[in-house]
Amino acid sequence: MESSQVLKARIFGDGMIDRDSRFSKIKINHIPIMITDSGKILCIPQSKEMTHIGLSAMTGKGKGIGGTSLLSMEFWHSKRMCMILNDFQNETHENSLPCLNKTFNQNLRAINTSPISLPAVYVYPSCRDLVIDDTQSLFPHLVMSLPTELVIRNIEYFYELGKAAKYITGYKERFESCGDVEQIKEILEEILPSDGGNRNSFEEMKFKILTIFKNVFDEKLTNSSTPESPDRLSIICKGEEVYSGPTILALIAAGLVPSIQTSEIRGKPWFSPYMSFIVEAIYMAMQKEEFFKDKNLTMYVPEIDKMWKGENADGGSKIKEKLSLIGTNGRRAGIRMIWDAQDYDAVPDAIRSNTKTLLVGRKANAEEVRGIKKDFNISKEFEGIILSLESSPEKGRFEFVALTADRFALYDLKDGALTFSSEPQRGTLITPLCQSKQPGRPLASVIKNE
Amino acid sequence: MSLSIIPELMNLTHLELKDSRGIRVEICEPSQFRFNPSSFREPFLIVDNFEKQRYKRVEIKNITIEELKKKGYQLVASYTTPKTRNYPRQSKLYQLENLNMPIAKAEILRLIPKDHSIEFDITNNRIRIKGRNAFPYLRNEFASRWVQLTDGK
Repeated sequence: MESSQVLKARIFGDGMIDRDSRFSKIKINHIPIMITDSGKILCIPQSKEMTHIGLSAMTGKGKGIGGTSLLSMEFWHSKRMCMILNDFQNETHENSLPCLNKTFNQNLRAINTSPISLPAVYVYPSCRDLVIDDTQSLFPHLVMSLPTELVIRNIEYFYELGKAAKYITGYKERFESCGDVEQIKEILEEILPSDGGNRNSFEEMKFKILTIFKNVFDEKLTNSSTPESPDRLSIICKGEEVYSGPTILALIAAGLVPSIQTSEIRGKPWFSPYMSFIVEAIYMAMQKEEFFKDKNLTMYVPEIDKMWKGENADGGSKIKEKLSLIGTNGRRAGIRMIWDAQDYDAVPDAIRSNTKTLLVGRKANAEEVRGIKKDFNISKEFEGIILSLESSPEKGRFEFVALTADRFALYDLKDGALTFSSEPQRGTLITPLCQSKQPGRPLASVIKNE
Repeated sequence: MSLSIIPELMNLTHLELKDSRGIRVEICEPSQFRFNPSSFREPFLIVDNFEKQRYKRVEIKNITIEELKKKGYQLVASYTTPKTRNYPRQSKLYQLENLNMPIAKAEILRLIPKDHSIEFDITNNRIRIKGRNAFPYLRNEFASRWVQLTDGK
């Protein structure tokens, strides 16, 4: 059959061959991320093992684009639960739109897919200074608060307690049930009586503890002060409750992609403990809750190195510690972390050593490549390539070098042959299926242009 | 108007979200998007099968008698008969024989004869004799037929 078609082609030319025998469709089963310079589609192999993926490049060289591209492929192609842990600069804020950038869409043609939006929900942590403007409210959003008892249980991470620690930790269970300052006052009257022996110091302590709790309630982190921002949600399917849990977990369980908007809380002293609660809650749920058993979650952490660059060094180490826990134990809990960072060396060892795939964009100098060179054993040739990579957003072209400690799946663009390789590969990113916003551009301006 | 596929997605999966007081939580207003679960097109490649055949790169190299033996074959020479001659007055013909096959009325060669060579097709894992005394002879290719090697040889 085939030889007769070959003969036909030789005698009459290719135009005489019927379409079905001339072309064949090769499905890309793995996660496509790049088109290599050697004319291959570079993919991360699909496997049950959730290994971490990192992206590192100078600012404006396509880290965010790469991260969003991977996330959108993970959601649609791998059909995994996804979330975005921290969005400092509203960069993920247009992910709920399909990609509207025509030059970016040219990239998608290589793999014959079309743009599609992510069901992203922009989750704003409830706080005193939170303002959601008209443009932001066009997009799906939700204000999330933390359960009061959780904040009180971990109050030492939010505020320095000093000598008050023994009174608070000793009566923590009683404090946890309090919903406002008045109830706290009543408990304090009991444990620190006004007519006690050391009256002055008791009064001072009472005032200090009251101030700590007043700060907690004033910050509006908890649901007791802001009833319109839920701390828990239930998922109802055809009248039956299928899941009930903390807001962020309920959104993940509902098959949506929560993106935590952290621009308002970034400078707060309690930023790090707040984020670590969320990470811990996700980690525990993925390990222990029946609903999440045998399910996988992809957690995208943009600008991971900036998460602990706070003023409070102790608090800063808390989120670092929790993300390192995901780095080491995330695989067991079914959590894949996609992280991006400008400074590769600032990423903790626990995360770096468990990152099997690294996409490296343009770096400023050899010093910045040193850590990567050590971890992935790259040659001098590739070190030079990393320092000369180019990117032009207006052409939708972002050059990266892909490194792996595992292996890549490569589909040949000409004959569709699938091969596997562990060698470093240079190529251009496949841009995201959904819209990604450049940091400098006003939000939703792309809709007006369209 | 909301800029999301969420309302469609929630409708399709018959899901709704409620807070701890049992009040329905609306994440966004009804959408302008019409979401269809099959609207995501799985990535694929279109391959031109004829392109592949036309430009299939076949890598061939000449090998020595020792390399031939490693592949499980040897080069033998025998006298021609009128039926096996490739050209008039041809006296000898060369052919490839499996090392395990008994050889009768033939001489095992330790050197490759002049104007002849043994070709190894790396792409398709096969060997042949190139030259006018090769047997069985393919006139238009000036060589013997290909002998397919089995895996591991």
